[in-house]
Amino acid sequence: MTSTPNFSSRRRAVTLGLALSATLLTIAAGPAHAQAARPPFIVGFTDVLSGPNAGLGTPVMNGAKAYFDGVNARGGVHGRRIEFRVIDSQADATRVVSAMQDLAGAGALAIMGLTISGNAEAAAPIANRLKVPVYSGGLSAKLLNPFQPYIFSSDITIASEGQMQIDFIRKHLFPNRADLRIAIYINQTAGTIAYAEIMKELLKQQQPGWRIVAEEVVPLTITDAGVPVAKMLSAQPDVVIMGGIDPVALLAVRAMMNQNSKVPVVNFHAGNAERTMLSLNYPGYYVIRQFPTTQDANPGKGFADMLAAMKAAGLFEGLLTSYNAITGYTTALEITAILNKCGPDCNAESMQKATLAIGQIDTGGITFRPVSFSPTRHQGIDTARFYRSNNGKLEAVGDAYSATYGRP
Amino acid sequence: MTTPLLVQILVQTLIYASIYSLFGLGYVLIYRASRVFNFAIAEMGLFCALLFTTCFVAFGLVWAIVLTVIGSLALGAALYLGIFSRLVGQEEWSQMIVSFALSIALLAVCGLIWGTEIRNIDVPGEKDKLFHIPGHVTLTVTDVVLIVSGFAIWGVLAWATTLSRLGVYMRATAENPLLAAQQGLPVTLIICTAWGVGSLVSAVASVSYGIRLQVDPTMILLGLVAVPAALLGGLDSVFGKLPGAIILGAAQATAAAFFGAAAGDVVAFATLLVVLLVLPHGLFGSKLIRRV
Repeated sequence: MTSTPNFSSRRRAVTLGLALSATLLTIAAGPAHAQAARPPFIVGFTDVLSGPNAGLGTPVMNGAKAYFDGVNARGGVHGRRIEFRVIDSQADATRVVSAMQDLAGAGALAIMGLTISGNAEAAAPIANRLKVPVYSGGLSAKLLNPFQPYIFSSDITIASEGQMQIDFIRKHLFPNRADLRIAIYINQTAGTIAYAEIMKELLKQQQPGWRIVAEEVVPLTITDAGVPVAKMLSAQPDVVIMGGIDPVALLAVRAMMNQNSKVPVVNFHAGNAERTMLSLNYPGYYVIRQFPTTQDANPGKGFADMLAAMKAAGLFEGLLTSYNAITGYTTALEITAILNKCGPDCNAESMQKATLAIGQIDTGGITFRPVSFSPTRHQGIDTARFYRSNNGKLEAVGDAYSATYGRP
Repeated sequence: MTTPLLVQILVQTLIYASIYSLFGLGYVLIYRASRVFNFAIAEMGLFCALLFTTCFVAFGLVWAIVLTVIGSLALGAALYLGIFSRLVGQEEWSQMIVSFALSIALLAVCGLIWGTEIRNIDVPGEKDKLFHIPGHVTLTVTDVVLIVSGFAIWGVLAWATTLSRLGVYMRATAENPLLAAQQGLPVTLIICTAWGVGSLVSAVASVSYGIRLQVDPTMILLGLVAVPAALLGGLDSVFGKLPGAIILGAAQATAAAFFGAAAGDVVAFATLLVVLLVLPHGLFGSKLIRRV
């Protein structure tokens, strides 16, 4: 008889305990369940992912995906996952327009990619009309000057690099030379043609004694640069100012080496892949980098994290081959930071407002200075250094330069 | 125009001619044996060049050559046996469209396996050693090897397909496969051989280009520009491939020198248009006579 109340009270205690545990679990799991139920933030991506120029857009996508995967593994932003929705533009402006519409229609609060400047120009009116901010590393000068409300350069822009190239030539290559013979060698895209026009304007204003003796515009699909390079060298330039992406720069500089030329080449950032520099190993090839190299000593924790993420995603090979993977990673980092500021109920319009209000974004050493956006600044990265490969070692030459042109 | 530039145009013409004639031989060998205009030749070359880079890193130069030769022969034969042998008897245009689809699929497969990065083939030795030729023009060892091998392969194949027994069998098979089979010719083996050798010469073109410059998906555009060279020399003429390629290479190099690099491809196809208007079968192609 005495055992019954004890058994009963034990059972009651167990029942109460279970009920309490269940209640606690429900309370604890409640917000998590609610979080999981919240729809993800959609970040759109459209770029050239197939065909001969797939090498331009694919690394951007891979770099961004590596970053977003890390964010999602840590629980997302404001408890919401980031869904990275990708559409292959095939470098076709018509497809770009429909991709922009599809992504905006799906609720994307930001769209990235658009590495080819002509594609970015096709996308800009759609972004402004649909009020979806675009973060791209492929913007031409006319998309930033004057500013367009929903267009942001997540990277340094080629329009702003001409000044750096001129400063570098007069400071490091030919100090105090008033009479230089300049060759301009660019690949044929909307962005580089605008860049060449800015370059000529700058030279006219700042170095009237420097003469443009050759100007070569080659298609992106060039397969051999022997003749254009021979034509350029026949004008006997002192220096080549280049606006060439990696494959174009590789072909041109190799052709110069094959033709026994020692003329220095100063390229903008699109030809700065570590593998490009290392495989050329031409000490006269100087190129702008907005990011440190993997050979630099301790650029920062963010840079180390990026390398780890790239390695985990099997992209380290791609990182060495193309700066575009780093651009993708950095753009994703910028978008995530802006999303954090934008809040849990962020939408495309509030994302644009958050971008203008973000101020500085610390990249942990991926860039030489923090990325920043403001109402008077739509270009995220504006600091860079010149690098070259010397006997298999990548080395920075000179100080960091800040872009001043292209910013109204 | 300066002398070095003129000599450079000449050198460039020879380099273009070697590459285009090799790709052109790929088109013509396959066409002669199976009456398929194979648009996927350049992509087959890209596949083999990427295979070469992988084997080169893993096993070294000799094994890379051996495995790429085997791989390219097998690729050509497999594509015929797996796809085109099933289309025998179909219209030529439908086979051409299939080859176009194959080119897209092969490019995608290359991207999936190897990615889209630029790859370099750093063969041991002094591949970038310069030869100085008159006119203050230089050539690398790779350039010389490319030009010599392009011309030599063209010579060997021109002999093999016109004067050797294999060439007669190939022509017989292409003209009338049924009759050739009734005469006891191993029709499938002959066509597979043609596809294999076609694949091999495109591999030679792609690997040579890769050693000289780089391996990346834009290489396939070489194969596209080689189409006018193939048609110019005559689609069924192995002998015509080199003259066609030289004319095209000269037109392209001269146009690039006078009107800018972007004009090169335009001039290549314009040359093709003009020649085909005057000579619809190309410079050395057979005139097809149909009884009606």
